[in-house]
Amino acid sequence: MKAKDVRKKFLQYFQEKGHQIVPSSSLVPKDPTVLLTLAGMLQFKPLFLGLEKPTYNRATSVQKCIRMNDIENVGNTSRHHTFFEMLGNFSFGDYFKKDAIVFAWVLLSNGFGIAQEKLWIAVFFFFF
Amino acid sequence: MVKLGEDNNFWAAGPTGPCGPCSEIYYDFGEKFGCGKPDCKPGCDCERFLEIWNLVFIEFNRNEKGELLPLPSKNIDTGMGLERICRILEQAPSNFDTDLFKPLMDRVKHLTHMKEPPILSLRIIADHARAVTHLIADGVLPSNEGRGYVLRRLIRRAVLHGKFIGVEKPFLTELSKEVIHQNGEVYPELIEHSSYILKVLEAEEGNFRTTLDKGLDLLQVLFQSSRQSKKIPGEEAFKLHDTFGFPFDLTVEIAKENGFEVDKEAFDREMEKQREKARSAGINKEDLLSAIRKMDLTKLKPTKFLGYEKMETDAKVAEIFPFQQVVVLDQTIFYPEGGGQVGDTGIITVGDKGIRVTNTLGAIDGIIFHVVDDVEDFKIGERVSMRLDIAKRKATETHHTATHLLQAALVHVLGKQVKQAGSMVSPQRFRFDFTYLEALTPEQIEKVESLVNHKIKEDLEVEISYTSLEEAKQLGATALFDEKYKDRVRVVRINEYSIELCGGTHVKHTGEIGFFRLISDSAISAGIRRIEGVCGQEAKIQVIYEGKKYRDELNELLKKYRFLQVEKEKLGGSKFLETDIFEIAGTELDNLSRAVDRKDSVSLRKFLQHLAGRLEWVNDRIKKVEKEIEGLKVGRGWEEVAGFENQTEDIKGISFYAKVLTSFPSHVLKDIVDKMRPVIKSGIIVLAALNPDKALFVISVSDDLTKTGFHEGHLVKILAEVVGGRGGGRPALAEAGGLDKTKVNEAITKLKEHLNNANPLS
Ligand SMILES: [Zn+2]
Ligand SMILES: [Zn+2]
Repeated sequence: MKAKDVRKKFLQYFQEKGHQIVPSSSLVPKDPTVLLTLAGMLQFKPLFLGLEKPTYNRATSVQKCIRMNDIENVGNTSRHHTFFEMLGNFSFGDYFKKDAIVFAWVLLSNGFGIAQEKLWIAVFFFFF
Repeated sequence: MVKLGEDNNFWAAGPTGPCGPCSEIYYDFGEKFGCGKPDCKPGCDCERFLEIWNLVFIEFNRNEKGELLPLPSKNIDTGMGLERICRILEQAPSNFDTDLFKPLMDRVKHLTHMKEPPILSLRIIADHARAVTHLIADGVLPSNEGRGYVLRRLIRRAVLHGKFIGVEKPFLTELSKEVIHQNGEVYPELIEHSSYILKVLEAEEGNFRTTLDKGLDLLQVLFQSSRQSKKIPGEEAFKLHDTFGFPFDLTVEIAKENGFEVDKEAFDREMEKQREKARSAGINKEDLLSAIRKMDLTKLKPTKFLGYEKMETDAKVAEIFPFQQVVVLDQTIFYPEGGGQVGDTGIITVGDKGIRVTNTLGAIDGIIFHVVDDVEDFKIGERVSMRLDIAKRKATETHHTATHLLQAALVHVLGKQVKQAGSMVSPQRFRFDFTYLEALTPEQIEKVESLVNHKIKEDLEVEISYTSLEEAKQLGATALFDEKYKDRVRVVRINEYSIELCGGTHVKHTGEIGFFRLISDSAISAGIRRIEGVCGQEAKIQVIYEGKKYRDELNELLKKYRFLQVEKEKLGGSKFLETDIFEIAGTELDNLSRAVDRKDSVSLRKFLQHLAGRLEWVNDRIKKVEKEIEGLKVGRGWEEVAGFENQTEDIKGISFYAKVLTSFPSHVLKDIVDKMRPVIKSGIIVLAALNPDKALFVISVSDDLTKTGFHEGHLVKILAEVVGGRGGGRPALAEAGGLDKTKVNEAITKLKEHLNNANPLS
């Protein structure tokens, strides 16, 4: 499957699940506390913080990102980059953990056809 | 399912902001990719498990103190790396083997002659090419800080790795084209800005290649001298950085590539030493301000600034910083450095003692800091009086108002893409930086310059008003991007022509600027140009000085020209006519200052060009006469060796000819020998010249003899030794010189003896 089709399939899948497709924001973030856009969530940060009211409760995007902390690894490993694209889905006060995991699992196994025994989920237990 | 530790799984988008626990989905490539350790599981650093999708359950906001505060609603944020999922779906051995990278790496392979270029460099180049193309498309320009530095570093690394794999020509634009072609459909900004992206890359790569070539040469020398220790001394790395602008991280990278280490500790020590030097060399403004910033300023009120209207005033001393030699007053007329304009200087009088103010700084909570020669006489609460250095202030104002006229002229001539990027205004001159991609053409420069002068001639009023930011925007005022303006902004308006938000001081009418001269236009980084200008009295002085310099230079050249002409005549050349040349007359210099007075920059340029042309004309003539003289000399030398073809001796079957001539420079001797060589097809020619300062030999051995082992370099040494000199040369021809002219014949005899005794191979 070509990258072009992967992007399309991802966005379509979440669109069918009621997500608004939002275009990638600039690598130069509006947020003054960050130098460069590191992740898909950055443009939604005001929504997460409740500073802005979203016009949608669910969004999906393909976000261009730059991370400089892995620069020494680039090329030495099979998986590190400075520039990369992040496929993401977001919920603003709508669905939570269970749905999020199910969405991801179904897309990977049914949508992209990855054998389930190849997939592992690591969960984090968080106590106060 | 696996449970992982805490630092691995608590995710935040930065030091502060929304965050929460997360869940990660991994792909398992199977045991054969694993490290084999018993605790190998998702999250292990080895190649078995690839994290593909991170799901974050956002419940908290981390504030500046590091505390986690629960959010009003629960949110989901997920991210999956496109490159990773593509790799899995394409069953590719690495992210770099997907269609996102492969075409790029293939292109790079075509650019090098290496059969198997190192994969690491190919990957780095492909990765960085994507990053830099997108960064520029989003408006980042290479610079030395912030995002600009990230971009610059990526470009440099890519170019460097290109060098490693033998890509000789600039190549980034070609890769960038591929990135644009591949991704333009998904990211239309790439196509929209494509020509801009390529121009920026071309400029930055070009600049860096020059630095790189110089640095690489120097590093080669260092590798040689450090080949025992395999460690580059930090002092040398610092020299590269300091003197040649070669970045330290590049030195480290290239050193690593060659199996060397760099002594970072010593490098840091040198850096610190240099900083120390800068500190003790004088008042470093930044250090001064940061020292003051650490003081308690809470009890100080903002200083009242009266300097827009007044040139002198009284005031009360509010605070003294003895270690920084800084005084704060309740009100002042001294303009604090800001908005590109330098700080005012002048005198503060305490009692009957005048104390010099060498600089005025501001920018902390509206408090203005006077840097003075001596703080000893100041007492808090006491009254002082102060006086500006008015001449300096006025000169600064002419330059400041000129930058406003210049900006308007640039927008007029080049278009709306011109945006101010910085400025520096002093009593002597100004700099104005602005966004624009190309060098200005001579026509554009002339137009901009004459437009500004035109506005000076019109003697327009410079109006100052205060208004709200909103209103100012409606007026169409231009302002620096990231400057922060308060509710009440100061508008500097020159007719309808220029409207800017500016806190600086200005002339009342543009006529006071006198004259504007554009000194230079250059690029300070990709996409940012710098114009330097000078105005008023300073401009006039500069122009007169320049005219005089032309006249002096021309006079020197004419002296040389006459001298050569006389020499040419002596050698039998054509007669020289004094009417052929003329000096720069006083009236021509007057023309220059008259053009300044008339504010006629177009004529001024013409006059100066004319003077430069005159110099060029004489230079051309000089070159011509020099050539003529050389021809005449070769002719005379040719006469001195006349009949040589019948005067060769036979030494062990070799034709040998030697002759001592009168005075000739070495290139003439060589010319004569070159003319003799075809006549004496096989043999050795030695010519000597008795020059005023020394004796000179030129020796030539025919090709057939060099093949049998005669070497000019060796033979010429024998000659040189006798006259007490040194020699050397190319295979065909060698020359030597020595001080002892009396021994020239002895040297030739010695050479003949050598040829008589030698076997050819010695
Ligand atoms: Zn492992
Ligand atoms: Zn200004």
